[in-house]
Amino acid sequence: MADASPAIATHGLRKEYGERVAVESASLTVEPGEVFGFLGANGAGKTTLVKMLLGLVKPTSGTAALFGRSVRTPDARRSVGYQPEQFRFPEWMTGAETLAFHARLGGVGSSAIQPAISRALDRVGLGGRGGDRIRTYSKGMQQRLALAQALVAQPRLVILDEPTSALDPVGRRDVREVIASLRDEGVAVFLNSHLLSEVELTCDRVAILHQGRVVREGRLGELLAAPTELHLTVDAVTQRLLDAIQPFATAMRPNGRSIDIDLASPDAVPAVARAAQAAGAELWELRTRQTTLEDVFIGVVRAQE
Amino acid sequence: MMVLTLARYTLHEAARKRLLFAVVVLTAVFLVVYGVGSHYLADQVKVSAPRGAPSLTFIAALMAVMAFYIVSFLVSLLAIFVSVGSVSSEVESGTILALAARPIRRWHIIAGKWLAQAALIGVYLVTVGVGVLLLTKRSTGYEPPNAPAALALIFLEALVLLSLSMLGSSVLSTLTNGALAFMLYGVAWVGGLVEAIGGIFGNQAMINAGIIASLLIPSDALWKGASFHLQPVAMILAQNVSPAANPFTSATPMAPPMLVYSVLYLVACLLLGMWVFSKKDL
Repeated sequence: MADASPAIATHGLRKEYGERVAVESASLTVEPGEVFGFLGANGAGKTTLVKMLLGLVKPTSGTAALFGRSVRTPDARRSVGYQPEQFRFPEWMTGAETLAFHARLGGVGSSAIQPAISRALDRVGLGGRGGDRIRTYSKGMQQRLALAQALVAQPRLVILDEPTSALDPVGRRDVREVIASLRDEGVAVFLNSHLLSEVELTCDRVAILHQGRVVREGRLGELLAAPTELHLTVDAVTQRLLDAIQPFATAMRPNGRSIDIDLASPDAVPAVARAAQAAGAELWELRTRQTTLEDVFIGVVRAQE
Repeated sequence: MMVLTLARYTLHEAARKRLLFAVVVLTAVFLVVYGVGSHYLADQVKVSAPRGAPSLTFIAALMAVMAFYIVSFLVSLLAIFVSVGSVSSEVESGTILALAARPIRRWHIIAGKWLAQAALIGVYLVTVGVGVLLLTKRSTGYEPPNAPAALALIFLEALVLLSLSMLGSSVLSTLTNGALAFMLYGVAWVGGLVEAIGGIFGNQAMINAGIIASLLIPSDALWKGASFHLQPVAMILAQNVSPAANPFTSATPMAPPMLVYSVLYLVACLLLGMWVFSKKDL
């Protein structure tokens, strides 16, 4: 029965620290096999919400369940791997010892521990370094180990809190590949990240948290669909030209010989070109710009402020 | 099962951090110094004790009691040192996050650490205690009347400090907890001294102050209880006749209510530590 449940389901989840509200009322659902991006500015409450999901922080009110089990019980974390933002491990241990310890706590049977360690180390690019003490690892290697630690008990949900903050571009690409392979295996991934481009490249669905509230949520394709921006440069911006373009725009921003146009529909580009020429304008430049996740994020955050 | 996994991790940490190695080396130095000292003292007493000097047994017992006083001190220090940052340092460094996010209960973490540290202290106490007993017997032939009871009470003393320090580590920063644990240990020591001196002069207010200190932290009361089992009957009788003999030991066995209180104190600290840590936001 638990298998059919969402990987994450929260309803009205709230956390107060005295008079400060860290998370106001978060209601989210993440399905198995889905890569979910969780965005927010510093201090928006992202890490607090993640910690509530993992039983590290007690919610003030609301409910949260992982695979149908309340996060108030340790059983809810049985199929969960977590990579904390502060990826600190005891430096006196070796990488393999750390993974063995976490595998045992994660319920991996004795005979399966060594294969699980080898698989996790290989997967994050640390194969061959498992026997080294963690104090000899670079920061990037420690972050890779943190990811291996999240994966070692073969979870069905992986919660990654800023998983690439210490990685170089190659390391970031490696993590994206790991996330993609997890999706292929049907593992749900909850990605908490500041790196919007990374979220855009990896996530199926996104939620934006602002001042403790989920202010936008949806499939990535839907969020990025509208509106397409068109940049038009002509010999002269006239009222006749503006009137001709108006039916195709939701907003226009003339600037010298240029106009930035928010199109009502991405399909309207040829019609705008025809209308400009019909209005007697000489077309020097016509350039579309697709909405990025950064545009959506900044737009949503500014709208709230 | 999870508790044992966590206990093994704690023992592994102690071994890998060379804590055990340092303690073993320093304890070996202590035993060598004690062995050499007791050997030459015994020789000196046998050869040239002046007339009217205390008997060899009396001096050997005094040395053994003082040696166990040091053992009690070392074991107490060890209990505080191993536990003072066992939770708080992991919270401060963030290593606790990945650990507590596993499908375990928070009290498992406290119980695992406590169990490992108690085992470590127990093995250390037995090793150093038996070492002192063997050296004393070899040098002087003296055997305390009830060494196992004395060792058990010293162990209980260490467990009280361990549980108290573990509770502090669940609530406070490592630095604050360390300062508080040592201050409380000092309060118990001074309280025991004040109570003993109050007994010598029949001053009830001083005795009451000592009792309050023992209720606050019963570590010195447990040492005093242990010291009773290390002394020969003649020494105890001498103290009963002249109570000024030694304010660091007791001429009476530990009162059963105080023993029960110490056990309850230990259990309460441990359970409170588990409860507080279970409620703590990490």
